[in-house]
Amino acid sequence: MFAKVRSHGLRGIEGFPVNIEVDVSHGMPMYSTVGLPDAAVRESRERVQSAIKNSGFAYPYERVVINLAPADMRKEGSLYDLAIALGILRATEQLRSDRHESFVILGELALDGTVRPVNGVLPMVIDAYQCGVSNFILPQENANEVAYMEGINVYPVGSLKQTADFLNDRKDIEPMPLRHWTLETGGFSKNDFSLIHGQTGAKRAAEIAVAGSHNMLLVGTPGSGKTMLAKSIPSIMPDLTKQESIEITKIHSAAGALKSWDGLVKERPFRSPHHTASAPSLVGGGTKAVPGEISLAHYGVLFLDEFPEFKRDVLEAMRQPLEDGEITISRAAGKATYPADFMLIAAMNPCPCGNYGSKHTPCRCTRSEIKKYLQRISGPMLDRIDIHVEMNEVEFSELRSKAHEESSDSIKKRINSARYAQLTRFEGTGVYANAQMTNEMLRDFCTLTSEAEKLIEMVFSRQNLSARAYNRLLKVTRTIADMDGEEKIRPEHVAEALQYRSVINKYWGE
Amino acid sequence: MNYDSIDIYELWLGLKLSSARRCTQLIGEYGNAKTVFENIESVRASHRNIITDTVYDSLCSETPEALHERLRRSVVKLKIDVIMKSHAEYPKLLKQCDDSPSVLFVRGRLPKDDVHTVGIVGTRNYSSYGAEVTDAYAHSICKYGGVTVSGLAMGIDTVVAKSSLRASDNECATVAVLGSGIDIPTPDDNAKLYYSVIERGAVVSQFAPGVHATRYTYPMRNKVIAGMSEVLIVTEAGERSGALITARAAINYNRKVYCVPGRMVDASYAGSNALLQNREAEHIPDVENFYRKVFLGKEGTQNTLFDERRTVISSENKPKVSAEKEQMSKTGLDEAEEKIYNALKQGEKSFEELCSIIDISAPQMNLKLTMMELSGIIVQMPGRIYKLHI
Repeated sequence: MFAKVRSHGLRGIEGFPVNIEVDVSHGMPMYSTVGLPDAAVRESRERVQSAIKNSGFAYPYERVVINLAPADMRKEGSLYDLAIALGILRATEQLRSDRHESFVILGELALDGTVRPVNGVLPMVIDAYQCGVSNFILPQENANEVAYMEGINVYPVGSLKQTADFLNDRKDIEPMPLRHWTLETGGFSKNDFSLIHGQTGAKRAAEIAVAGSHNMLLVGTPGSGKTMLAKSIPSIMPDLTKQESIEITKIHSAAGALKSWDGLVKERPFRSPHHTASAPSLVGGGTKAVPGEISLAHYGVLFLDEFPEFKRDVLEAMRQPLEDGEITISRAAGKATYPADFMLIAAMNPCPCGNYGSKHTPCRCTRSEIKKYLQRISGPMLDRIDIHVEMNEVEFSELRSKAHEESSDSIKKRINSARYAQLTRFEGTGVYANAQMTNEMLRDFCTLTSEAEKLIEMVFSRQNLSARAYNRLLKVTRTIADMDGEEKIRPEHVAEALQYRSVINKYWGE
Repeated sequence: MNYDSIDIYELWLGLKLSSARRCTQLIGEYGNAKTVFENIESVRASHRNIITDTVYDSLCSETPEALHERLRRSVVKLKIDVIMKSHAEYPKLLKQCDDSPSVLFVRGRLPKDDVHTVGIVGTRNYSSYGAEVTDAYAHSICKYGGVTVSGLAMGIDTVVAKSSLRASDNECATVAVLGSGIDIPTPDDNAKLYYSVIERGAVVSQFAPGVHATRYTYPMRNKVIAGMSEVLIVTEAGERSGALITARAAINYNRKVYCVPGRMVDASYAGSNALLQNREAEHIPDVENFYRKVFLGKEGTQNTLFDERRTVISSENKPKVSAEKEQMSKTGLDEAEEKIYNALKQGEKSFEELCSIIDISAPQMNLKLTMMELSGIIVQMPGRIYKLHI
């Protein structure tokens, strides 16, 4: 007999409907799966057979053919196990009605019939919902992911037996209750800004960088607190909105990177890949075109420690997504576009030994060594970083001081107000922060007072600023002015922005 | 001087004998270089110490005519001036040295003989202090109309050439003496600088076009730097720095050597400090008075140069920073800037230290420091450490 079950597939973070057709007919016992299955799908045969047997059902020793339609799309992963098993049960009339056809069914099976969680549930459910499906049977562990979606009924299941009983109307399953979007705000994170002693200059720079979503480069001696500062940055970033949270969760779900089966991602991601990372692991790729670190850092922070140690091609691969906020990966298996709108924080030592510019430890490097080290970072890459800060060792007295340091929450308040000013300014343009301004916007939104104009002219003639450098300077001044709540950019804003350029002049100039 | 009117025998002998002193000796004995060429066998017999086997081989490998012809191509193409020691164009100061090279290749324009030349030498691996001092002296010397001489190597030499090109109004801004053939920019990294020096100064070499630099050519080059300089400044020299060779040569030529002292603990100043300790060099007068004291024999009271360099820029059009540094605070700086100025007078300070000493917010501190930096009162060094401009 013939049966049909609805399921869903995933390509990148875009879903597509998959219809599973099962045909059981007389003949030599065999089992065959068609419709471009990958190895994981083909292996479902063993799991399905055992699960059916161990759940107290009879497995048909007849000719079983499974077709995954559409037949020209590659199907990947173990998520079709449950649907296939139910299809076989229906085809052998162990399921008594076609009730299952109103559900989209996802889930992996264990040999004993337990249902296991799968990756990518959120993007598939969102897509299926847009295709008009509103009933889902999902593994229990995955149900939290979609609990915030309105208008759908999710039936979490724990085993094949339970599912079959539910579809046979023997036992009812409570649909997942709708959860409301809340964010536990406030409180003390373990990476709070108040834990960083001293480093007033760098903290201020971080604040500006976050306020305007500027990329940042930290240059400093070993142990000056670069990593600590970077790790604290998510704690001052604006709170996630539901929409952002869903987008982040979609990517993490598709990549199987959700930390717990606890629903949506509610913290800004902080990704810090090691410097031996390959280009595909960073920007995404591999045979299945999976998302890379830059996509996992979407709406969060990508922290690259030991920046010059990254391979050149790996860094250069990041240039285009840094501009566009998304990346398209093409592989034989297909093409996928992932969002990658992240804040880049790079950290590096000023020289190979690390102590160039230190007040306490002399540097052991020669000029040419330093030059070579710095030149590992290309000009175009530096051009995409707006704020450059130097950090130096913290004095012992500062470490011991009991002086009150400002907490992340109070910094966040200032950042929220600066972001609000930007959101109102850019309303309807798709831009949400100063760092993303186009040249046209720079002209419209960056009005300088006449004194500021004079100052910038002065700097222009003294430092030989390029047009691109000038634009970046303007963006940063705009952010600083926003933090002051000023409409026009004043000379002090320009002066401060210049401080965040001085590193380039000192290290990469001449 | 026309290349064709050069005494080809002298050119041949001068280039083949690396020692200028021996070359002069032979010419002195035999009347002229042509006689030496014609009687090479007998010269060899009587001067075994000068015409050693290797020298003899190289003398015989190429006739004067062939050598002259071989060099012609690059001389014409690169517009190289070939100056023999007997020529009037040969730098007067260098000529006074008995072992100065017999042939000099020049690209660009040599300074006139009445212009004061100051050699500035130092290590390749310099400190930010060394660079700053070098820049300040080169700047001041050029502003007074002097010409700097250096070696175009990485490090201090590069700083000298760059600052001089920037500051000088002379028709010859700086002289760079190469340790390789005149047509080879050495080191490669300074190729761009090499061409700027040719454009606005002179590149000099005693080696024929095509010769590559070796460890033996640099000490010879250093002697030429010493020879062309009226006085020599050593701005930063480590224990075994090549700058010390230049200093010794200058002392041998009876030129005055001035030395910038460094901290005792700095290895990069070990050589400089040793020079001072052994009384081989003199303690250098301050930047402002150096040129006046050394060449004009008087000390000035007005800091005209620095007025020019430190034009304060601000919206209120602050008055120019006055000569007396103490008064500056009363006229040009506001309260916070004055505090910063006073704090930096005690020594260099990092941004963090300034923030902890002076009670203003980080944004305000940024503003003040930028303004003071643009005005040329303070400079920022790696590690975000600030100090007063020399």
